[in-house]
Amino acid sequence: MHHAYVDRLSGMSSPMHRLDPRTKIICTLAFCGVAVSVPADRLALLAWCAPPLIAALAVSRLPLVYFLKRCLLLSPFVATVLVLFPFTQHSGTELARVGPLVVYSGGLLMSVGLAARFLCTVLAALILACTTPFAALLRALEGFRIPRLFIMVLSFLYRYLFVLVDESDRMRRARDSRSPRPGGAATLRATPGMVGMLFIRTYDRSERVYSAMLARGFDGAVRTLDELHFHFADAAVLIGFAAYFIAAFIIAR
Amino acid sequence: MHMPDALISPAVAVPAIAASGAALVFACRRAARELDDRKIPLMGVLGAFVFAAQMINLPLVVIPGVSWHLIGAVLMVSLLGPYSSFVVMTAVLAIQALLLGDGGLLALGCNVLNMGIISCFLGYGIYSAIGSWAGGVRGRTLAAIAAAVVSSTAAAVAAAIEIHLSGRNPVSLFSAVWLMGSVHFLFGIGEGALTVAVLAFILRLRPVAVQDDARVHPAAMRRFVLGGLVVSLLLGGVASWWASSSPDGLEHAAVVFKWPEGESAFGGLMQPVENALASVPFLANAVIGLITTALAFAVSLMLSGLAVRRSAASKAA
Repeated sequence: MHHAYVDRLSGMSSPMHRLDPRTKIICTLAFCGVAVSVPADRLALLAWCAPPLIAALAVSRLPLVYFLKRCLLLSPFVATVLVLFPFTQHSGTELARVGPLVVYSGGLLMSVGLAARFLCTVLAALILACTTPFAALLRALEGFRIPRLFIMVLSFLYRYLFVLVDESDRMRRARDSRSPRPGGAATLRATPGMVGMLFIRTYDRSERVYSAMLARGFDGAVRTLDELHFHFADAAVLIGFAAYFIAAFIIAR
Repeated sequence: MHMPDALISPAVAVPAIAASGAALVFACRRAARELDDRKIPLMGVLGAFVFAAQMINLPLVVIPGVSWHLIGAVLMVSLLGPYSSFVVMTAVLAIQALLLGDGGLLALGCNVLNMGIISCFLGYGIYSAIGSWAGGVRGRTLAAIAAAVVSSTAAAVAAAIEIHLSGRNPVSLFSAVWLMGSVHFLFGIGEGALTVAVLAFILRLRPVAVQDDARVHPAAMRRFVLGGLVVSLLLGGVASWWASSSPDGLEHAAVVFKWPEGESAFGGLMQPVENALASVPFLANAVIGLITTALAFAVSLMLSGLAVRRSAASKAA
């Protein structure tokens, strides 16, 4: 399953994996911010975003093929916008005619810019997810003063995600092996029951989880052994990252 | 509906993050006060349930090859109440953004605004308003469908407005709103129908799970909605002003308000308004943003006001 794949990657070891998760979160957010605020008429500036991404990918030793595959899974949302732009943005010169539709260079440029920004931001987010174990991400969020209840919900969600997805997989397999014609009215009729049953199993599981927590002395606080450490390398990465983009800004201006 | 970072400009992302962050802190405090410890694992595991339920795809009978799945916001709201389900939905969105790259990190604020705040609070307002007005199974059915339809449409419209304010909208604001709204109106009907069926199943087999403590205090709800109105008006105004004064937004406004004639009948109706606004491109975005946010919240305020009166009346009776 693809979630497990993410987990396996984040359990690897590399200088990138060893960075403090807070450093990685700050850098990723700043990077996305930079990529997103490049103005539409100066798309060449987006080229400045490539070196940090390539460096991060190289240092983290993540499998490139997996990343490119993930990025090709464009959301239908983005795909619609990408396709619409060249036809509706009536600026620049006329490039081609497809029947009654006219493709303009301005719109095409807009489309290319969006695709590039999409690639940059999705890659950055995936690198963060694949180099940081989820527990460490949660510790970092705690450091950013995110409400405790929310973090606990997140940690439970993550812990039982795989269990429940497998549960729903099993139910789906059972349905498919019992339905002669998949996708018919019978499938439709079976769905509410499946979702309802999944809910009931979820509910019962949460009761068991709570009893187990009480049996282990849960008092409302979650304690973990791993502390976050801000090393020299983190400071170096943060300073280098900031310096790079400040330099880029000055040169580009 | 998960917006990636590429479709959002910082001028829209930052206020949205602030708004959803504030809502999250508020909802967490409120949920922590109302819930006992027992509900903490329940909330987390229910978040995982939303994930797993989304993997049960329904084939769309109308369009072969396209499948559709439950979003689950209205189901959550009817089981947990608005505050806890908002926390759960936000956790689901955060995991989707953090782990799967589904929806951007910067756009998380916007996604929480659309699929968390609007789905849960607007959905809850409508669900409890109609549910207490027309009681019984029929009332619950009607309430769930109405809540799903309205909140799904409102979330889609909000997403369209956010993309427009970011200057990443390939068509006119009105076409985008119409396109997104109509598609998600249809999705909402399916969502509502499935929610009702699932709720009926759960009520039959495990009625304990559907609890009455999901109700909120009417006065608190009213305060929250009023506060939300003020904040969103401010944000809508400030954000759109900011968006329109940034070069990206300005350039975009100039392009959008000069769009070709007869693109759609709907757009044609709005042409005079857009022409009038186009003479002050600075103000155009701000005005549209303000009007739409005000409208959205006027509707939700009215509905939740109705909810408060109804639930007060039913308590007195």
